[in-house]
Amino acid sequence: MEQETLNLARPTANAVREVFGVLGAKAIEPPALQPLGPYIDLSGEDVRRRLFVVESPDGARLCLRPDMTIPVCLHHIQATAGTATPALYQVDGQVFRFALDPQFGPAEFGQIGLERFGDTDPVAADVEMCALALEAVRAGGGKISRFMLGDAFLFPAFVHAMGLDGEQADRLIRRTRQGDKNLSVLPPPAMAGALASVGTDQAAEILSEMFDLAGVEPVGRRPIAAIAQRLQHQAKAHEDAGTMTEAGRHARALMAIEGAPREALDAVAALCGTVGVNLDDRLQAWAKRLDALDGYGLPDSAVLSVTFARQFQYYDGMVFEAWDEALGLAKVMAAGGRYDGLFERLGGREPLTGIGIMARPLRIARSALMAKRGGGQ
Amino acid sequence: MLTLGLPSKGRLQEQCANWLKDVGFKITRDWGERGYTASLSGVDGVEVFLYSPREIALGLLSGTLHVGITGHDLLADLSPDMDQDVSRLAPLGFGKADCVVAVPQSWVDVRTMADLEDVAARERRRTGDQLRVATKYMGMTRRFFAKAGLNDYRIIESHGATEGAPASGSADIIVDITTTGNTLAANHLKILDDGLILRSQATLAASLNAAWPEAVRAPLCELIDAIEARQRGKAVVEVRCDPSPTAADVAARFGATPSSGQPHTADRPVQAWLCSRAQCRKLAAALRDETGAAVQIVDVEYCFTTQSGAYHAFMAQLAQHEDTVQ
Repeated sequence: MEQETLNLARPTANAVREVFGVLGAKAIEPPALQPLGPYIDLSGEDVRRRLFVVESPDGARLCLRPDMTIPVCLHHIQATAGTATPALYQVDGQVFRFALDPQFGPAEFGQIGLERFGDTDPVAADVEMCALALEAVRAGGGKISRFMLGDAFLFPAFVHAMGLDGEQADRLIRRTRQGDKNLSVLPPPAMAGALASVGTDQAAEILSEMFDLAGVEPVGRRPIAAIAQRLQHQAKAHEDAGTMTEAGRHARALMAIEGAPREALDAVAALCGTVGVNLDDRLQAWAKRLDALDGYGLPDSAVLSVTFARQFQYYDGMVFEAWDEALGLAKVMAAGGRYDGLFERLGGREPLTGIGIMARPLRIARSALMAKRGGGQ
Repeated sequence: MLTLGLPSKGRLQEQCANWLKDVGFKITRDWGERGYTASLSGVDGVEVFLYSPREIALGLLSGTLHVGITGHDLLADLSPDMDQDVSRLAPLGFGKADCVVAVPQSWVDVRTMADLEDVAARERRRTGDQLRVATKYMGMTRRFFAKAGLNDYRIIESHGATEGAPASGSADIIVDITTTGNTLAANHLKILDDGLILRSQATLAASLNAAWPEAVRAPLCELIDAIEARQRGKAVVEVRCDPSPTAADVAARFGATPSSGQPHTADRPVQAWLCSRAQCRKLAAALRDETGAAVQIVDVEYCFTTQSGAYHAFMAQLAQHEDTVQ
């Protein structure tokens, strides 16, 4: 990392702090060492690859925090005994993420962020936080080549609204998120048909008898009833295969939508109309957000993309990232998103809405320097 | 000195020693059976180190060993992209095993990775805990599962008796190597239809990350030359006959080529042909009928050709690798 960038990082960090400081948030410094469990639970082996995992001498599995949102959330749960108490925190410190490619920059880097719990007007909060992130980048002189907007709620809501049963809907969401283009259902094993028309308990008994006859010894903790149930489900899914394929087609059409925010929203609305899915509330909220963000100066490069998602999977509402693509793999200068379900998932006793933003002074500084030198667009 | 890593004990050590002896190189351990170094007869400038296959793989990937014999599975597991770090010079034809994803036989509803992905999600909803995969192949498992779109699991490190993990309750499924499949069946496990991750065998590999000064390249060239010459030799026999103008056509019918590698001409008629064992008797009979003279079939020990082989391919790869690293 060049000395000039490092020198500029400090004043950039100050500029970011000043921007975020207008909200008068409570400054906290959660521990750098965090429990590993939540990060594995909420993102799986995919994120695990990037974590610096440490084992404490007493065998507990910990990691160096790769983000600030989970640590702040855990702090808030502890501070409020898990009750839904509104709060606003500012965090300022290092996060740790491993990457093989040096283009990402150092594995340990600074982040300044705000986490906001329990808003009475979530759409207004979304707008305010998004605007603050944009302002932070601009205050540091960062050049935004593209501003990505997304909604982690939209795609699942669409799929559920298509009327698929819960399991099929979840499967469709998971598979399309993985980029699975082929959503066809495999023909179930022949015995699935035999179990299709009986109750689950009976199906489990039949299966158990079949195992005895065939000399198959069940091992492991997955109960025979669970296997029987899935076989029954597979038989039914096979019957419904046409519906799933059609649903898959619509889902893919939705995933293809990406473009200037208002146009993208219109396309989503049109698709909803064609398919007969009602997401009006969601779309109206977006119209409100965009109107308000216009006032703050949404970059011309803003893109609303249905498939845009951030690296952690706890987001369930608006998400955004400010990129300078000249930085290559290290392009994310600032970002944020809503995570209303996270508080409860981490152990909160009551539901509590949440939204967070963060900015990375080192990357903003580098962007500013490159813009100054290159005399960019 | 060229550093060569060879397996230090067990069946693999025996098989490697026999294989090298067959090529023409004899290993003599220093300090008797307990030593970790050895010398190789038949070629100068080679230092042999006796390590575990895993240590050999690590040495090749990091560049502390020039060349070595280890499992393809270990190289593939320990490096995110093994072709960036090593060049596989020759599969050795022994130590064969498949790396597979295996689940309980009683999971009759699970036949593919897509089924497994579905079950992982269901099991998490049911138990609150992630699907547990017992394996020693952390790298390979992560990459294979990620490619299959399966992220909702965690790995339980297992360095022995992995097949017993589901029965003992310490894991739900496994990723392990199998040869006959009997151990899996004995532990009531089955392989997924698309659960074959890698067909592995003992492999002679050279490190792209080691330093290769000229003095070290010569012994490598000699080794590879001998190995390839032996492999070629074993694949063919030599069919010797009287020269005849039409012998070339007869030979071509049986896929035979001139032993010298030079084409048949009127001035230099071919009198010896290299032919596969499968076709050699038919060829011999045809040539005898053609020329009216007796025909002999002789075993070929080595077949040194003028075409470039694995050595040149490796040198080209090394040059390209050095450019990339620059």
